[in-house]
Amino acid sequence: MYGPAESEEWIHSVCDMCFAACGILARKKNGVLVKIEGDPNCPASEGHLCPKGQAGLIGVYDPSRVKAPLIRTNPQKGIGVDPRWQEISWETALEILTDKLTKVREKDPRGLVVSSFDQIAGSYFIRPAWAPAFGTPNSDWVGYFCGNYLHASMYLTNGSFHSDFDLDYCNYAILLGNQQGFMAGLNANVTARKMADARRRGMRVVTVDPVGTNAAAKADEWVPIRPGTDGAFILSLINVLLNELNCYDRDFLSRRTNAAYLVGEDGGYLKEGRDGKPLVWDLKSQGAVPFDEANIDPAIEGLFSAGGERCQPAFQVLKEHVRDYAPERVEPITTIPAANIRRIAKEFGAAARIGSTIVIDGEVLPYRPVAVNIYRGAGAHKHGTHTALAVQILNMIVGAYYVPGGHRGPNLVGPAGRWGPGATKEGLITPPSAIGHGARYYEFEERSPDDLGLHQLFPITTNRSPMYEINLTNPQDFSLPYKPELLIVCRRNLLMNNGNPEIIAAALKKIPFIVTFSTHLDEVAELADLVLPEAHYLERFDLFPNRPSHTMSPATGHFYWGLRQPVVEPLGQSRRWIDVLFEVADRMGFLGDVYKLMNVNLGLKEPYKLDPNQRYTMDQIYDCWTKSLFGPERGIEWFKKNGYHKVPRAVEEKYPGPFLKPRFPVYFENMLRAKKSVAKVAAQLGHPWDTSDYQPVPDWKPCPAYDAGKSPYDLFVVNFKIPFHSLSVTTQNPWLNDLAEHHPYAYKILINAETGKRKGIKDGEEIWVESVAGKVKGEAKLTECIHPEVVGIAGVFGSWAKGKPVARGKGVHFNSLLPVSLERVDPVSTGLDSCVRVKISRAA
Amino acid sequence: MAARIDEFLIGVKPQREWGWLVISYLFLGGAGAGLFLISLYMDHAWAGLLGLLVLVLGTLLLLLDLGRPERFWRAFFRPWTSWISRGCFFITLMVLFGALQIAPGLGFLWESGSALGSVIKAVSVAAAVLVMIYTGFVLSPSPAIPFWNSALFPVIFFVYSLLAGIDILILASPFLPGAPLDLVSLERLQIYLALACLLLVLSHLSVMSSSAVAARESIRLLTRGRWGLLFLGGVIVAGLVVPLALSWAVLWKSQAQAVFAFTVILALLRLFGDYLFRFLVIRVGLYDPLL
Amino acid sequence: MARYGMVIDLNTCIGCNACTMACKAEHATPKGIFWAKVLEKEVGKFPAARRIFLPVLCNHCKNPICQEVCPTGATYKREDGIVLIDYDMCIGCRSCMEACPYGPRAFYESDGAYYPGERTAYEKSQQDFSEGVVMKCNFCVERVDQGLDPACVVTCVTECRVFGDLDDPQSEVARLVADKKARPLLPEKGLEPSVFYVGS
Repeated sequence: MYGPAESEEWIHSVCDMCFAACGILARKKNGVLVKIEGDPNCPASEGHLCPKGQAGLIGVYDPSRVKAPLIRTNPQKGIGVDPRWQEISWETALEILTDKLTKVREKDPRGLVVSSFDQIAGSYFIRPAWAPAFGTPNSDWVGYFCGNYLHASMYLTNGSFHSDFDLDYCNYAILLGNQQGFMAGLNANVTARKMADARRRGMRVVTVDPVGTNAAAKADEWVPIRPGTDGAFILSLINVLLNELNCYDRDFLSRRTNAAYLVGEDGGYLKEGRDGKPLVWDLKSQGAVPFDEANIDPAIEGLFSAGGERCQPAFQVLKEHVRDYAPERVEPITTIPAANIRRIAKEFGAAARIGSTIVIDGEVLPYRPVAVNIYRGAGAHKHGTHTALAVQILNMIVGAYYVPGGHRGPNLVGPAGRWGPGATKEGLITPPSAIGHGARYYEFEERSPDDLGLHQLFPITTNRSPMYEINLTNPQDFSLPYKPELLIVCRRNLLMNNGNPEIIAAALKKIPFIVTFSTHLDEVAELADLVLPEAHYLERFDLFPNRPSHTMSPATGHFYWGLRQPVVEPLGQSRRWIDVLFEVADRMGFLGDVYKLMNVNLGLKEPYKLDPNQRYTMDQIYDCWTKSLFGPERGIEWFKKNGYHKVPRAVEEKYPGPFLKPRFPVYFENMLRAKKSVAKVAAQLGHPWDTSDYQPVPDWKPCPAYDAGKSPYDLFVVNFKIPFHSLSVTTQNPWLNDLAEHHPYAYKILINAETGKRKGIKDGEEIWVESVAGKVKGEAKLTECIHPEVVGIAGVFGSWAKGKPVARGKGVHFNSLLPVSLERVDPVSTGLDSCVRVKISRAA
Repeated sequence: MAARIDEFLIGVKPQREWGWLVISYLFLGGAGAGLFLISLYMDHAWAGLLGLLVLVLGTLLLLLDLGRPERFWRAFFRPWTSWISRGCFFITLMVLFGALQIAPGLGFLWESGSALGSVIKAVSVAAAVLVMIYTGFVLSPSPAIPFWNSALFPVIFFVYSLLAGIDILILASPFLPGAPLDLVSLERLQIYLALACLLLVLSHLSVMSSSAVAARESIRLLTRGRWGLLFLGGVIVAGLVVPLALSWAVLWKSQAQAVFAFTVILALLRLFGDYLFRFLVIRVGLYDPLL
Repeated sequence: MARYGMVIDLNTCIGCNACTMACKAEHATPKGIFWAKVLEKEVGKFPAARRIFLPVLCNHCKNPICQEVCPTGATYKREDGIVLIDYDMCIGCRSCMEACPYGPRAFYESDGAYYPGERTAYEKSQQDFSEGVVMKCNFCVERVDQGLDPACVVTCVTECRVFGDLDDPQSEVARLVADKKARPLLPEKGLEPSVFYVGS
């Protein structure tokens, strides 16, 4: 077969080995898929592709794929217990599924729980349409770590879903617990390229991380930090800038934030009248005036008296508050020398070039070429919300917000003004619904929650997934008026990606019927009752995999829309789970309602709106969607042929900061109201509740692991990312596994060389790592590139499912070490604390 | 500290492609040729036959080591650049001309003029010597393995091959047809050869210890590291020093013929040390780090 | 006649191994065999410690020792400098592997399929070699002959690899070699590689 091609075709599609959704070109020679390359026409890939994308090819040929629907015949469920699958026909499977769902809907539709990290299906079809039409709010059992605290903090402070910064102009970047730009994190492909260009240009990178990662390897400075103490470091930087260096952007703070809003002794805004606008102190007229009055000079510092009440600008509160974070006090907390903290603050402040401007595309824009970027490592701890908010404040006080060189959230404004942020009546930014994810953090419902996430107890977050597990484990705690009856899972390894698997397995066993859409009989399928064969991404048909909320990267300088279309025929009887759920909805009679909701959520316009009385193929639905957005010339056939539609960003779409009216909060007054609301809801439930984290200014508070460091659990364990694996989906790929097996660090347990020597552990030895929740075994790697108090375990490895023979037994499962309980979640965002104390011992 | 050869780590790395089969060929091929050479010296055709058989056995092992043994004939095609290619010719010549050389002595009379006979002898001697030393030329110019970069290698291999050949002869002597062998003079020869081996090995170590990173690490492994016991104890002490000391004490001084069993023990010790030497030379071949 | 070469910027390489996987995908290399890979090393002591990344491949030396020692002529050098292996001629003696100090070669002994049992349709389509031979990077000669860059160069997410004609003074590789102190690995071995590195 080797030799010249008789036929050759290149098919436009989109990768799905991580969420970046880079455009690919799939090459088929004589009908056989033989290569995947980056699509030169996709702004995110520009012809380049990461190791995972390159490796996707071999996954198509995996014989371990689930090829037909399977029903459990062994009533006993457990980890490692053989379900004794029996193959059934799709028709039988659909009948079973329809029957079960019908019964659940009749009893109480909220008994249906859907858990999926399939970003496309989840965000376009399930959460906004199918699940509400069915009648369940329990459709976002998603992640436990990064997203929870991060997205809420971003929506609150930058009006968008995520954290990013302008690599085109940034000169000094602090990466806090992340490796953005070094093949990990969001839109890794394009940000790696931009980061490389920025570094070639001379940008300075400082990584703050307990682990000497790939990012730390390239950074100008690696700041090793004790896990869970990043908030203290950031607050100390803010303190030095505000109180020692007097280095902050007064203009930005007074005009573009709520820094000048007068705050009373109770911490709330001083308002005009009862529910009027927040007041500021106008230095010109020496009086308190509404914040949006014209031609004023608002004070951001000082103590004033207005209407007989003593008050001060919110910024004054912040400034005084951070005095508590002297570098000398923070040094023993973080293990970062005080001198380094001061130096970094000074460098950051100087690099910010407060007051300077730059001309881009004919516009004069503020120029603040610095940014701090936070992600999972720093935030996924109890009290992580505080850390994230502190980071955002740090960006704001030097004015590095939505301007050249500074911090930004993705796609705050849409193409040609299609969407933009709103504002509360207090003038503070609210996210556009196009990227909003339903985030409303200024109004609170004081009623008992009826969803598994306990929405009303956690108003300021985007997902409450750990609460699903906690509720399932102890259903009596929150006395919901129903029980979960049926769980549908797709692309969400609930066993490997939460905490210790025994805990979640026990919780899942309480659900009477579990359906998984699986490409492999993985760890969660092992506990299912019905397994349905899901399509591999190269077999799938997904429109617009680049979502404006975070995977349509501003770094590309474009807005862009692509199509993931099938490159190969589905293996066996695999079907796309969305198609199956739509068919079931049809059988149950609510597909019309689904269409109605899709008309709204997808923004379908006449004459392309879906008629609830008709039935459409996915092809037809996509055609309606593309034409609604781009007109009759750009239907689905155009996308199949051409791949990507892209428009360049205008300067105000790249740097919306100077063009926006809504302000960014440096003071979180809404937290005070949230506190009251949450306390009320908890009282209604008769549940004692700690609301102390709802503060208007952030603090560093120690997470459970910080205080627990007494023998024998004397070390911290942390998880970190490596460039060639992503979540658990890549672990079954034999090429990536081959690479990992040859890699000096990937599958191993990293221990500081000095620490290892002290404990008598030799490089390459088998060791146990044990926490209060569980223990794992693996090969020790003695390294200089990790904090002496820390043990590092990468990725989501240590698979045990027999249905994943390539992944099985490779690497170490970090999550087994994590306990799951109410005490270990961030009280504001429900993010699960992801560092824990461990002890290590030789396994021999 | 040497890294695993397949790990994606920069460092001194061991070669792992050439193992037991190649090592055994180095031992048997050299010993067979050495035995053949000695047989000519002693004009003993059956010894010569044994030598050829040992060489052929070694060569078969080498063929088994190939990834594609059925393509072995292709190896003849680059004698102008490749020592392995040349080696193919040397082995072929040795077997063919060696067979012709010993045929009369085994009873296969064929008529040949003395001129032809001399040519056959000369070629088989040259081929045997070349078989004994060419593997040294395969290893020593390698830019990859500094430990092998020694002009002494062909000489060391020659002397060790002769040593091994004679020891095999000593062990085979009770079973060998033909004239009885003068074991005393053979033993005396072994004393000289063992001494030469000892001096050559030690000077190789001495030269290498001031050489490239990988070579120094090889020396460390052989003397203080993982293979220290096997090298110093096996190759040096058991394989050379003890036989030297014992044969000097018993034979040289007393001038008497030793008990055969004693001679066998010495031969086994030397053979053991010789095989170990070949094994360790190959095993402790390390690549320099790339950075 | 061109003389092909490559320059890799070690300052910019982030050790992601996209090149490693692109090469494997391009040539369907067997299990455990990597024609291109990224080697790592730690330098310094905590906290002033870091890992360094070194992407390696066959250096396509101007003075290839592998060609010299090959007894069959399977390894040969094209006029444009690309050193290739004719997999039908290789007997698998591995003397080339014992001669090359750079370690790009691998011996494909047996059982290289990634999934147990038969080779996939893809492997059958793309593999121009069988078991029992030594194999290595071929500078993506099939791509180069079509005017394309090697797969590792194209895929690199940080664009730290450049490929071109070392004998063309206008080409980027030639200029980098001339200007930026680009140096090959182990120059003292005298093999004159066509792959150069800048940065550290």
